[in-house]
Amino acid sequence: MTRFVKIYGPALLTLVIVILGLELITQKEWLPPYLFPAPSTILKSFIELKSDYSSAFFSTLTSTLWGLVLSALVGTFIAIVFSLNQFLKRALLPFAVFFQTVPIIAIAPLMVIWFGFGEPTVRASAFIVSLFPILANTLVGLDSTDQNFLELFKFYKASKLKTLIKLRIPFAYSYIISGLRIAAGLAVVGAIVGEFVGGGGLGALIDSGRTQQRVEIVFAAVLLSSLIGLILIAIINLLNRLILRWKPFSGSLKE
Amino acid sequence: MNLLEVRNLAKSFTSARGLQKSVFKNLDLELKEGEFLSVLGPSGCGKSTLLRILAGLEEASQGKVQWKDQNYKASFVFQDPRLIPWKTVSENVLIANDLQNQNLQGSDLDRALSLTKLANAKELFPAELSGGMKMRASLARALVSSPTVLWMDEPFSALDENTRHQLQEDLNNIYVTKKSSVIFVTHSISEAVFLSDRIVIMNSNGEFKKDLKVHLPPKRDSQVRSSAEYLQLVQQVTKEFKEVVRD
Repeated sequence: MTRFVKIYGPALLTLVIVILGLELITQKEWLPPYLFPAPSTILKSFIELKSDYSSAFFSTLTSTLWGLVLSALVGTFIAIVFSLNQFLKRALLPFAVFFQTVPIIAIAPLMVIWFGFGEPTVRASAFIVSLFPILANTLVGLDSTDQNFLELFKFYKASKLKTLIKLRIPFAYSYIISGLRIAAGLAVVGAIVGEFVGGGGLGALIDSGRTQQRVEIVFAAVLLSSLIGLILIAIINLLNRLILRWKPFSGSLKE
Repeated sequence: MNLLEVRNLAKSFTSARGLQKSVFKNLDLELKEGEFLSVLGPSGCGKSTLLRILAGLEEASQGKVQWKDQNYKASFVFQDPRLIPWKTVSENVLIANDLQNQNLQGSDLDRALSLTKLANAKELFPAELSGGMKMRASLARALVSSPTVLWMDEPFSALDENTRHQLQEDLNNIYVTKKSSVIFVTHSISEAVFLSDRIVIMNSNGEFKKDLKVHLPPKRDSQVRSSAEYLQLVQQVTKEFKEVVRD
């Protein structure tokens, strides 16, 4: 308990001070309420529109998860194929890099045309933005296998496939995890952008809050969307801890 | 009978600046069955390259390596323990089962672990072992398949002196019981004398300059280490080594 207070106490204290400060500023109307809502107004909005928020939250969460899981599978798979086949890598990787530089917001309208309104566009948008960090990180991880271990596997005449499965993928583990962490944050961005154009979820809620000049709805939805990112990263960290307890893959693989 | 004959072996490589650089040429070497041979030489003389060529980790530029029996079994003990961090000691020792579909049994594992005094460390991960234990595990991995020949590339050079002595004595003990042939690369004169039946000295140009027999009892222990014969041999080899390096 004392350890909990010691670690999380300072951050909680900051949070309380900021909330109370904002409440004070807005109650005294130092900031006009149509620009910045009081924390209590946001809280009230949460209670009043509980069911709207919760369905929007779960809709965005589901789409984000969809995009993230799909990009984890596809990204890892492409990285493995690239690392096994230099020709394919040279033929396709430059275009993946180019694709990555196209802003998602610019192609989002196109996705509505392709996939239609609603979930398909949102999921595709979350998938596209989270794909590249996973692909790039996994690729770096697979190519950074310790030369000494590769030599050991060579001495035992291990096949290419065995070297991949038994050595290179486990070695890339910490790279894959950090790619996932980056991708988790981006998948939320992708989902919200997809919802701006395709409708549904927190993105649509933010958009309608904006058009109705109800800034407290925008704030509440923003808070909920960052909560999604936090939840995803917490899940990844938990999984990471469980996996490392089972087998000590990790960044510091030097003996 | 020679287990292994090396004839006219040469190795050269092209440096980053495009210069042709010769590591060694016209190298001849024999290894007798059951012999413990040390290759002694200064750093960078090419002794490790020679070992890596014999082990099939590198290609020779020229010459040939002839085996008495093509069905030999070889194991390599590297300079670093090179244990896979996410595998336990047992899994590391039995890695050949994993990579080559060999059929090493639990009894093979137990024998290798007891030879290397690791019977209690079976389920530990490498990060949980001391430096000496890691090297023992690496040795166990090499011994588990009962190899005809052991390639050893300065395996004890990173250990503290006390641990190094202990491991040298254990290696000798294993060698005396198992009678594998060994090629042991080192730059330590006392280590070469303590372990070997025969020592060849390589100079900085990659040429074999001396071929010395070591007349010590087969079983080497701390008594041998403090014996007059051993100390005298170390002195003699030191003298010869200095001559070779000076040339």
